[in-house]
Order: sequence, then structure tokens, then C-alpha cells
Amino acid sequence: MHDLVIASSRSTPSYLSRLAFRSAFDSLIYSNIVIEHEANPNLISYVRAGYETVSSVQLLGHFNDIVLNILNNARPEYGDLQDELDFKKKSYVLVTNNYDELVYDAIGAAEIFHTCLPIKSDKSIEEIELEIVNTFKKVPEISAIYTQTYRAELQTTVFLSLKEYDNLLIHDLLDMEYDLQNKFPNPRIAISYIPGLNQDRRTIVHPHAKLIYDKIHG
Amino acid sequence: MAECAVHLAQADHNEGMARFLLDKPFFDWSITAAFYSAIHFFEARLFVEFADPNEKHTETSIPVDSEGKLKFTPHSWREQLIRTRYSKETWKCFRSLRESSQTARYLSNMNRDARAFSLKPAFSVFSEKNARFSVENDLTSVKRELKIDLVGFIHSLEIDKADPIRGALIVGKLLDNFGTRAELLNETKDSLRQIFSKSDIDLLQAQLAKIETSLKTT
Repeated sequence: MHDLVIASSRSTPSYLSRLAFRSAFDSLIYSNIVIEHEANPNLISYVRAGYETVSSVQLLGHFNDIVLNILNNARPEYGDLQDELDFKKKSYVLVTNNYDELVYDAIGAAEIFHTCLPIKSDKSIEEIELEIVNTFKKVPEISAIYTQTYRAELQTTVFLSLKEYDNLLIHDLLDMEYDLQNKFPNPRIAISYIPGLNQDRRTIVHPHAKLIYDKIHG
Repeated sequence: MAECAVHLAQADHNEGMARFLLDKPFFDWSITAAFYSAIHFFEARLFVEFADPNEKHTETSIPVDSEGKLKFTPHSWREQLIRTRYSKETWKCFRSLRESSQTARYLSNMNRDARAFSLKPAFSVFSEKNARFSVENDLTSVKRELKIDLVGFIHSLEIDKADPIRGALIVGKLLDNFGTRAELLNETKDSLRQIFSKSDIDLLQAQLAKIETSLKTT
């Protein structure tokens, strides 16, 4: 299983892995730990700040804790991959005592989420669309919903029956959107809410957009 | 792309226009100005918070696919950054501003062919109440949640220029632990020792002295 060789990754850290690294880094700061090593100035320098020096063994344990913590936090979102996660946890043990490699390995661990789990945990478009409909059909002001895929997004157009803009309703809808985006990070659900102007909806949405909910027709 | 002070100046300018238009019959433009103010406030926060040059701007941190094409539009990516890095309230109010301004700008022009026409111009769906909500609720919340007052103050201290590595750490701690400039300056040196090392405080004190400000001693 090649995706278990996460520690060997030496590519430029992606945004998500940098974010995860930053969390690990913050954890280091608050633990008053510093890495006294110049091997990689771009990464290591962020962690050199005049704090107390610790041994590589202590650091190794600390990074292992971070990695396990990251994997444990992944449980709710990737519940159906529990066996795989447990396997990764058992497989991923940082063994090096080289500071430079430790930092890179922590980044590699973070890359699990970016390169492996999100892809494998993707729901089908149809499943996401069903969840969108189930979420929004409870809102009486919603008259129809269309979707289309574009770039890395599931673009979703929600038609409202209101003739005037309603900020409070939009805030309620955004609460629902927030939960949907957290539940389905890939593809990203990008939603537009269109006030009702008595015009042909098909002239607003893309010609290839799919009607997934229509209040009139049920 | 601009640096922090330019973003803040443009954000203040746009907010001024948004407020100026609140009691004029151009509520759609008030909302639009509020949204463009929020964008610049967010970009100012990014610029101050992140040391990595690529992460200082939304446009330079957009992920690319295997063919090198951008996976998201800048608007879309900016909203993802806000959702993953800051509070739900920040995301919801920023998203609300984008939604209302998008309706204001594009609703009249959404028809893709000549078979149908909007029956009403976009500005007719907005009232003064909508504009006030956008400016006084949404924009105000975005500024508060992103700690814009503190962001401007931190930038004026130029801590990162005095010491790029340690400065980045100090900036992160300031943003994590304080909400406003007044909150920071209300702390004594002793109380700050719970967060910062002595050398951090010395650096902070030195930069404060350059703008003729100081930390409390008792």
C-alpha cells in the first residue's frame, strides 16, 4: 500500500499540510520546545525562537503524539475508514532521530489528509446532492435547486421564492451551508442564493446544470 | 497585490463609502462597497499573520491541479481560507456580504440568452434595512473577528522586520491572545511573561518605543 509511505514525502508542503504543520508548530511553541538545528532553514527556522532545547528523543515522542492526535481527530469525518485509520496509526511511527527528518515527517503525516484520506472518503456527487436536498427542502422559501460541477466545485444554485432580499434568512441558510461544507469537503459545495424574480430559471443556471429539487413538482 | 497598510487604507475607504450610502437610495452599492471592504480587511490580516510570502495573499496560495490550473477562483479560495482558519461567525458574515453583493451586482445580468428578461432590476430587491445589516452587522463582525484593530497595530510595530523569525512567532502569539490594541497595552510586562519569553518582550518593547508607546510596568 504505497500511500502508507507518507514519511518519505519530500515534496513542497501543500496548503493543508502547512496548516497542520502550523498546528504542530504551535504545539511546540506552547510546550516551550525548540529545535536547535540548521539543516533546513525554511522549515526549521520557524521553530527556532530561543526556547529551551530538548533532546531528539523528547522531540521524537512529541511529534509522534502530534501525529497520533491528528489521526484521532480524523475519526469523526472519516468514520467509514476506521480500519484503515487504525492501520495507519499502527504503521506510522517516527523512527528517525534526525531533527530535519522529524520536521519533514510531521509534514508527511499531515499530508495524509491532503493526498490520501480526502480522496478516498469522497462521497459520490449523487450522495452529496441528496444531502443538499434533504438539508434545504425543510426551508419553505426555497423553490428549486440546481447543481453542476466546475473545477473542484459542485456549484449549487438555490432559488428562493422571496422578492426582496432577507439577510436573516440568508444567515440561516449559511448555517446549513457551513455544516454541508464541513461534511463534504471534496468537491467543495459552492452555493448561490437567487431571489425569485418570476423568470425562467433555466435562463439563469448553466445549460448543463441538473435540477435536483423542485418544490412545485416535489 | 498590496501590503497590509494599503489593504487597510482601501478597506477603510470602501467602508466609508458603504456607510456614506446607507441613507441614500443606492443600497446595492452600499452593500457592494461593504463586501470589498471586507476583502481588504481579510487580506490585511493574511499579510500580517503569515510569514510565508505565498500565504500572505489569497491569490498566491490557491492550489493548482496536476495540469497547473487553479482549482478554485480567488473568491472561492478566500472563503475556504476563512472557513478553515477563523471562526464560523467570520465565515458566515463574510459569506453573507459576498452573497448579497453578488446578487446586487449580477442579478440583472444573469440571463444567458434573449428568451427571458429580468422583470425587476437587481437594486429593487434591496432596502435600507438590507444595507444596514450588511454594514452594521456583517462588516462589523468581520472586522471584530479578524481583530483588524490589532492587525493594524501589529503591522505598525514592524516586529517582523526587526527579527523575521522571532517576529513571526510573536505576531502569532499576539493574534492568538489579544483582541485589540487596548487589550495588549493594558497588560503588564509581568503578565505578558506567561505568554512571551523575556527576549520576546524586549523585542516587543523596543518596537513599541519606536512609535512612542510602552507596556505597563505594574
